[in-house]
Amino acid sequence: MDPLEAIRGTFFQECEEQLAELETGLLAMENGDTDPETINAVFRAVHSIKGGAGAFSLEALIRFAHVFETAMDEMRSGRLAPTDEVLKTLLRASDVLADLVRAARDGDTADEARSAAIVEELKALGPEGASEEAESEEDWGDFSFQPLSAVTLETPAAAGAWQVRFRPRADLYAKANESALLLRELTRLGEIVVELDDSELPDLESLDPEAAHLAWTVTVTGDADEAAIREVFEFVDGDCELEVTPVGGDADAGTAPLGDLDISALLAELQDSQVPVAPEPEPEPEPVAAAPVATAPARAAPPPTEAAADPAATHRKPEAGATIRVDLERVDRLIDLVGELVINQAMLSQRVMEAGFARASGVAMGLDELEQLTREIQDSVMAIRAQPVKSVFQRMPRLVREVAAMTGKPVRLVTEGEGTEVDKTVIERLADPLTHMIRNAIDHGLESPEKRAEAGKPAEGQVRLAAAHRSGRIVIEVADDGAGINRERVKQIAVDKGLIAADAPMSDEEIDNLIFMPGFSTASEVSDISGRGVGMDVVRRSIQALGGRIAISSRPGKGSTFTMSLPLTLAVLDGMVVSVEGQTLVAPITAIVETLLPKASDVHSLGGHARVIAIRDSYVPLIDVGMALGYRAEPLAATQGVALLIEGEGGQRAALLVDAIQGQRQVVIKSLEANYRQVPGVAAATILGDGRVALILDIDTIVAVSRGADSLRAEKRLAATG
Amino acid sequence: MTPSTNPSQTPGAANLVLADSLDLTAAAPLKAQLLAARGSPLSVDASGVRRIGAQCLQVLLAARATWSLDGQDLQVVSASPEFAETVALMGCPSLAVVTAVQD
Repeated sequence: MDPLEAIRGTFFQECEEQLAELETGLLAMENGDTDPETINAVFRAVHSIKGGAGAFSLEALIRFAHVFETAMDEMRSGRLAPTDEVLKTLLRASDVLADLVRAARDGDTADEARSAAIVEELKALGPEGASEEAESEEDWGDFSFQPLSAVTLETPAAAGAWQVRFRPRADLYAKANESALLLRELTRLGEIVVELDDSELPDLESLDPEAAHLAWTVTVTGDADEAAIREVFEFVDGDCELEVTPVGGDADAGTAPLGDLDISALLAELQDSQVPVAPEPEPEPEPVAAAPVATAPARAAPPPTEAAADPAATHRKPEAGATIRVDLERVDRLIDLVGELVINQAMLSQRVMEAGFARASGVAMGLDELEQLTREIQDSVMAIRAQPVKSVFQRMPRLVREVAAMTGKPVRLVTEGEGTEVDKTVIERLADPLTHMIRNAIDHGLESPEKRAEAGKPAEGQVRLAAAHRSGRIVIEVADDGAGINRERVKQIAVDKGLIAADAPMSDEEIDNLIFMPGFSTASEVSDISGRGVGMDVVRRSIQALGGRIAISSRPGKGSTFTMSLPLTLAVLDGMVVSVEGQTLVAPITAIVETLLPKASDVHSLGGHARVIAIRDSYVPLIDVGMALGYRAEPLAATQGVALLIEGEGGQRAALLVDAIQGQRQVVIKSLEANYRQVPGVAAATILGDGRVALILDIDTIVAVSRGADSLRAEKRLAATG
Repeated sequence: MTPSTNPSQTPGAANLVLADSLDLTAAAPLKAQLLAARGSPLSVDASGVRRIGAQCLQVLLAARATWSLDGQDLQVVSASPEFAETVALMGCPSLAVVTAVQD
């Protein structure tokens, strides 16, 4: 890839991170966080985007970021109070900034009217709107008060040379700016000769590595005028000492009568004459180094990354290179390989056992160590991919603001558990279904403010987005406090569309689940917001494709809750290996509470094949796995098997009856959907140590079969009619 | 980035390999590493440097001055093109020039 293009890519990636920081900070402030560090973080985020945009000359982005930054600076200095109104404006501004970044990335144009409107709002925030305007509207307005610029404009010696004396302060670096980048910028204006002033540099022992001890005197020869030179330093204005004076051919007229200026001008001239930099390189060290300076524009690659460097990283003081970016493909390849390693190691163990080595033998013990090591490697590799769901949750506040504005329903989004970690693939594939569900929750779930008032609810509706780890999976809930599902209407629609028979007896739960059916769309209320031809069936399919499930619970007048449960990783699972009718199956260990040998006296029949088992104080359904999966027609006598007491995602308990337990081991998940197709009751498959394929049980579906609402059959029926 | 003896450099000189990214955050660790190597000749290997900022340049210059005061040799060897180009840009081309080994 073109190196510049790669750096551009990095810049936009970093922009996304900055935008996330920005929004997090603003939302924290909206929730009453007045910590100066939060305000600073927001300021830095905008500032970094502006700095990076400057390196790529993304004008629209720079202009907007500048106005935004000015407003944040007002707030940082305490002149602007973070009231609700102000924060709403800033949040909208962050949306526009995000649009501008994306427009710049994709080469589109953003909604100019919208950004202009926000610019006006932002300007109105400053107490001295006028002065800000001057600064942002006219880029050289800044410089008009410089006495020298008058000279510049009047002297037709524009093609002369300029001397730039530049002394950064530590703040310049702390704000993620970089002198090298500024000098490189100067190379775009013409030929430059750089003289480094290290006279204030202390010895190594007493050097504060983050202080600024270096200064530069740069002679710029070319067509550039003073304004262009000053523009290079626009973003570090205030964080450095800067003097720009004319020198060169017209030296007498241009040089200020100040002694020190004379000296530096003289120095520059001396350098000009002594070290003829670009034109005729001498075979001496200096030109070797100087030549690249002249050609620098062609390879001005590195600076943008520096300019756009994560300010958080800059302000942390840890060792260098705390994070690296790695292609996802490489990580995936590593994960695949580790998966193979696990299988291979299991096979090896089995062979060693078969070969009759004693458990205490050196070989067996060595294998045990290998197993532990493999496991650690696996955990570490998985941890590389794990990310907090925050990255996808963060996109939702904006969505909520927009949908709320379009529907005219005031909405408050409450998020919980953003720190919950899950595999990156899962996160990436969550964004679409979540977006759709939140749109739905606001558009269809929440009532209009008037209806809410009638129902005695606060005008502002609430949508809750929560994530948590539960029994080794991640559970994500999208809940609204709206009217709940209108079951009569849903059923009527399903009947009208011929999805179900008019007289089909259906439980509330089954009716709620109709909305997941393909072809079901509450067409009569299709709107701009949720009616995009994407039904809840698509949401369900995308969740299922991740090995997850989605459930809905709704209470009339109280609201609806969609619950998604997803595996933390798509790669491995701790399982209990069991036998059923000669088949080897794996039950996820996270779901198993305990195992027990049922006593005949504890098991009670409820007629048919339904049985319950008494476990301490309670009765739980006893489910014969062999029956549930169709391995046998007659149930196994409870006393001949082993019961696994399991707890499903909803917290419901059941006992699974299997023939015997073989052991416990970590298995590598091989998707059944990808290699075969989805099988109800079976979550995935794995390869055992002896090379055989074993099915991994989908505990919740199996439990669902046993319950009165026979959802497996219901699903089949729905699928058949759909 | 551990100091080690590299026989291909100035005889007896310890060798310090610079990190690839010498940005602001690298300045403090770099200073610590250099201080740890003080008291003997040092070869600073800049072959892997992809970028260097003013703050790390500052540390390297201070180190060079300090070594010189100590009467010791500090040399930047095998500078990467990026390193050479950036230090030259910052007005310090001599840092990246490998002077002939003098004993």
